[in-house]
Amino acid sequence: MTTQSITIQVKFFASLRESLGMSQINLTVPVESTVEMLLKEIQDTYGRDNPLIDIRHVHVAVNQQLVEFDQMIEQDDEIAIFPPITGG
Amino acid sequence: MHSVRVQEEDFSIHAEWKACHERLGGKAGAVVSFVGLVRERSNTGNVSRLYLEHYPGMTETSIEQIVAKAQQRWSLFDVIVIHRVGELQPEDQIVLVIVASAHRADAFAACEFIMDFLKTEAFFWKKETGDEEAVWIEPTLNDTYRREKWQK
Repeated sequence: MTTQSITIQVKFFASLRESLGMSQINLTVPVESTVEMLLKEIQDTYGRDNPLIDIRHVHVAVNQQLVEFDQMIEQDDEIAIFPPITGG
Repeated sequence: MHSVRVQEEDFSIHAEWKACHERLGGKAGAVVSFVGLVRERSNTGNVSRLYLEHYPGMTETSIEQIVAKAQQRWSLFDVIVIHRVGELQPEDQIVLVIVASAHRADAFAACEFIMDFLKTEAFFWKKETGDEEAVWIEPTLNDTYRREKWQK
């Protein structure tokens, strides 16, 4: 039996975009993944050799709404991960 | 009535004020405007360039929500917010807020409120280039304090 998976689009902004060297990526994650699981996956995949990638202090939006890290991710969600904002 | 724009292009406070004035007719007794500029010095040193990044869609929505909060709190006839993004230099205009109301107290307060929330709740990220290196700006405690004083 194969584990079901979903495809999502993940966008990165500001210092995180620069550290990762990409502004967005399409990822496949298991169904019923949470934002926290996604962050851990990104940290493990891209942060291992790059101490600049620290996803502990980021904010996350799903479909352009700020969410808590226990939010469940669904097929075709647009996830944005970014550092604290500094506008005005 | 309100208008929110996020753009790379510069803006003319005169043109925006004139358009606002014409829309208002004789209703308003006060129009307060604020322009934020790029300073040549910041807390960390000289600034030669400032880069502003945003999240298209979410940034505009976050500004709309700030304007809506101000409109709930004060009686406002018109609100205009223009926020620039992209590469800027010292002396450049970054942000314009125009607020029109019947009396000056509401217009002054709402203009300050909108600016304080733009600093802390609008989705922008700033990167300053100084004499040697470029650094992403961290939020300041003062920005947080200024927003929180409105919640007391």
